[in-house]
Amino acid sequence: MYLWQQKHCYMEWKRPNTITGSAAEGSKYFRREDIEDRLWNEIDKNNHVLFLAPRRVGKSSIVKHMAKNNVHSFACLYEDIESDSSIQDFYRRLCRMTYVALSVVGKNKSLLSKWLKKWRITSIGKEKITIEKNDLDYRKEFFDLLRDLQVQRQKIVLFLDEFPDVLWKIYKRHGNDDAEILLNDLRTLRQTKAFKDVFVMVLLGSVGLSHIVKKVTGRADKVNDLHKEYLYALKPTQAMAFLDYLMKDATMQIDDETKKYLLDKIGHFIPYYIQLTIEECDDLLFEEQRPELTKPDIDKAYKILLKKHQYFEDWDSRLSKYFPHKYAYLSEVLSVCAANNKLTIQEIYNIALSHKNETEWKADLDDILIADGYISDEDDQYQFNSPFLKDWWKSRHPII
Amino acid sequence: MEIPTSHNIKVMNTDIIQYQNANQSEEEIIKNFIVRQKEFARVMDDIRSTDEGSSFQHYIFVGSRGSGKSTLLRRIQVEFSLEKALKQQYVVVNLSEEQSAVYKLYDLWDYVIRDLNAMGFNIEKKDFRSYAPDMKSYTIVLHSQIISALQTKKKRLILLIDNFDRIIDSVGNDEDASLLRELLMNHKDIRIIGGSTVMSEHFWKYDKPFFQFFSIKKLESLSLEEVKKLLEFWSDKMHLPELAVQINKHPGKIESIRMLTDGMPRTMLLFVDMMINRPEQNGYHYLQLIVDKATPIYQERLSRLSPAQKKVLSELAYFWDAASVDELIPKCNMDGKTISALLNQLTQSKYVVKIKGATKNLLYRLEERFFNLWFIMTQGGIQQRLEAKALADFLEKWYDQADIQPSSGNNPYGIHSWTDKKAYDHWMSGSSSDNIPIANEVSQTAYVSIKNKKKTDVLKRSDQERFTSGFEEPIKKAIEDKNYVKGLELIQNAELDEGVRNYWMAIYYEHQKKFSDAEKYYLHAIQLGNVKALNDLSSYFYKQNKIQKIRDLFNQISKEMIGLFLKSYRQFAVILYLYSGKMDLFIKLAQEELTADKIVLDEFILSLLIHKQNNLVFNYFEINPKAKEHYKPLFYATLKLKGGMDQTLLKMPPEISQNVDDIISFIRTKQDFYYG
Repeated sequence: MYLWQQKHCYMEWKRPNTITGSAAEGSKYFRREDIEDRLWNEIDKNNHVLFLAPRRVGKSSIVKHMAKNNVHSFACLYEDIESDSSIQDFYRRLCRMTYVALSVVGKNKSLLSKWLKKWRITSIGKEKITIEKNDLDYRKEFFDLLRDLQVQRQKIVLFLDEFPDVLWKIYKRHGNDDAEILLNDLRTLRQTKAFKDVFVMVLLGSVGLSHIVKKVTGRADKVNDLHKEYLYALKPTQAMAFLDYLMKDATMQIDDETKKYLLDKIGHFIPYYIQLTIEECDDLLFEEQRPELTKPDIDKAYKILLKKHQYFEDWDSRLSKYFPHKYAYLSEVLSVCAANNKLTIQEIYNIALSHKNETEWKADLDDILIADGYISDEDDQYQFNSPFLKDWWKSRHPII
Repeated sequence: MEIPTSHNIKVMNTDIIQYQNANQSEEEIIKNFIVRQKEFARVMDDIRSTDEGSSFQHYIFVGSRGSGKSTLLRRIQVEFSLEKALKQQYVVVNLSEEQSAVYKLYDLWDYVIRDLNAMGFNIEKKDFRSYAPDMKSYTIVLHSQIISALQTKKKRLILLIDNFDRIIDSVGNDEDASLLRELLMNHKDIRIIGGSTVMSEHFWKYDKPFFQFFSIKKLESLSLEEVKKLLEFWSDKMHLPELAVQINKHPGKIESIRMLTDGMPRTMLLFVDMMINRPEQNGYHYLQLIVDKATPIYQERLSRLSPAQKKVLSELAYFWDAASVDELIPKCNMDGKTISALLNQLTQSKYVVKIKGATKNLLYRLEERFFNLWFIMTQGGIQQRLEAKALADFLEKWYDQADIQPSSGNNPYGIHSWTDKKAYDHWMSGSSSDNIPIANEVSQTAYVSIKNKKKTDVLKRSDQERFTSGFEEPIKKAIEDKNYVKGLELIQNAELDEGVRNYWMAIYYEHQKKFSDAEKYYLHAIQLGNVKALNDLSSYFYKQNKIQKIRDLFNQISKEMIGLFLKSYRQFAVILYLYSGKMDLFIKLAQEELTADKIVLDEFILSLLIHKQNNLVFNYFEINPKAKEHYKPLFYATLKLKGGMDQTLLKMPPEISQNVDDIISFIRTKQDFYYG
């Protein structure tokens, strides 16, 4: 027991194994073997993947684990690339990641030595480097690198997180042309033997990539060769296993019936929201210095969370501000979805007709409500990603 | 050890409200860290349980000025310096002082490097000119130097940043924020624990880089228990046990100040300081002193506004409740469009918060409630200050009940007693006894005090006759001290009116819980014309929910007695008529009481609500705006009980919402008691 605990009469308290901000790594990561297997399967087949899910659903955690724990013979590397805002940035990163991936597996030492000198590479610790030479054309460097790599057999898998953000930034900062260059480059590379023999790209992003590509090029075909993989919520058995994983060795105790009550309360089993609720329950019990979690505790914690995330208002005002002519339709879709917990595609079309939105109803659904993380669909059933947002929306826009 | 004298107490007091906790030693920081334990525990438990290969949580504590953010960060820092295991794994940089100089992300890393070098890390200084204009590369290189240095020493960095929201704002657009997030995602060597005065949109907007990236912990107002802990700590530290006594003696004072100010540690420490230096003030006086201390801060906040913005803000503050643009038009002498535009500006700069209801009409109120109170009490007119006083007094009285659990029913009629001062003022004013306080022991004390000051000529003859002998005070004291033998002796031997003597015999038995004997003497006293006995016995039956006994009692007493009772205890009589179902009489008398120009007793309103007269009370508040302002919590409790008033309820000042809930909870419990 720590001194401050003794002084303030707190019992020794072990917290649940949660993490709700950064990606989960190491002992924090709960295996999603089904998704991992599906992704490895596509990678094995040399397919480039677009891995999609709204923010906070857990995709970064999955690919980070895959990158660190690959039992295949690939050289894998994960990076969050969101700060890239130019073609130069993007290709410099690709060069750097390629260097790291190869140096980790200890191959192609002569190539590595050549690049080390040319790019002025500095090591910054285990498996991390930085490239200091700024005045090279790194797009050209990368294409040269591809030629150099033709003879080697090492497959490199690059997990690039927040790719749609990068594309959007390049588009905003440098215009259509540069964004199209990047898209065309990547499409060409994906179909080029030299690239395909060496690299597999797994691009991570929210489901808005098609939406961004359409804005940039007017079409969605630049990315239609990517294999799309979606990340869904946990199934009930997985959710229960996840709870057990979180609660292992924790002071807080939950019996099976209370676990079921907690999961029923949350409804949509996204790890982030399960963990938020667990953390809040743990805080409550810690304050009262008792370990047994009860159903009233869960109700109380849920109410507190609903109040804490009081800035749901932005989710509402954003729609009315940016889509004033579509707001009535979008709002009704969300209201009915909140009231009924789920909504089918048929019901959505029905709502669209009542708002005379026969032509753009599906695009609005995909590009606004799904792209921006309000709802997601599983087997044509649409539901809110966040149970808190759902309950807030229900109270703000009740169906009378 | 030196015993504090009144002189050196004043010298020592600066320790209590010391703001610059950076100047305290590590031991002092640990010893003086009383509140925010839960937040501290959460972070430290998480840090201790994070193994080397795992990712970890970054934290932001969100709290207004004076909420204890800096102290909490400093306490975390001290924990690392003292615990060997943590010291081996981590190095801590606390950027609380340098953050005003952070302009870009590379500045942040630059200051981190400087602090690490001060700890012997020897990180080479890079010249930014070698990288310009590619400052992103420069930023990445600085970061990589930090990572490299940490890995060489096999340490991870705990980066404490107070006012993290300001850093995010000052590093400019989302570019630096994106880069920071990317660096934190790609490297596990730096953990950020920060403070923020506002819930920045960077943390919750979906399209912002840090959307739900940080674990946000809000530093709320201190609870009553936490404030008590603070008081007990300082009572012990300053060797002032009387301070700890105050906590139990006057919980109402503490609660009213806690609720009406921001309830933040810094404000509560001001309060502690004042309790030491100026004991025995009432809650409103302490509030005035605390508000005065806040004047420089709030004047500075006001000075940043344009005259038009100040006008709108001031008029909004004077409403105290949330207000609409339409309500502000006649007060501001501006058109609605102008006011809306100004309110939008004030909302953007976090002076004002917008409240959306079910209708299209928006409501507005000042975001910082203590700031609103400051307006009312320092800038407002007489009416506004009276309202503040009324609210402070109401809260103090409410929470000064010995036992505020609704089921206690300790007080026979009212929920609390009037203060001596108030009763004294009442007697001194020579006003009629129509609105006489019900807690008669207090009026007796006041009479004794008046008698001692030889001012009994201002009292009415009927009142004097009740206390002719001057023995009643000692009788009362003997009974309260449980010296029943002496009490009985005094009662039997005093020169008392027989009605009064029987009255005191009843009190004598009632104190010993011999209720049937007490009842007997009360009845005798009533027969002898003692109207106080009638009040006390009725109160006792009422408290016991003995409705038939009350009916029987009133059936057997004379019309003259009823007249006297109505004269002296009118509002209680109205409640008894309501309770016993004599609706004609109740309605007639209630209409006479609940008029547009009369402020009735709060106990009266409460009792009407207990007996389900929500609409009657609501109508009273509608015709009597002064009463509405005077009894703000009761007004909002009435709205909640009435139902269907959601739009109006949005106007409720958040600082009274707990009290409103407590009132409703009390009413519901009483309703269960009376009606099952």
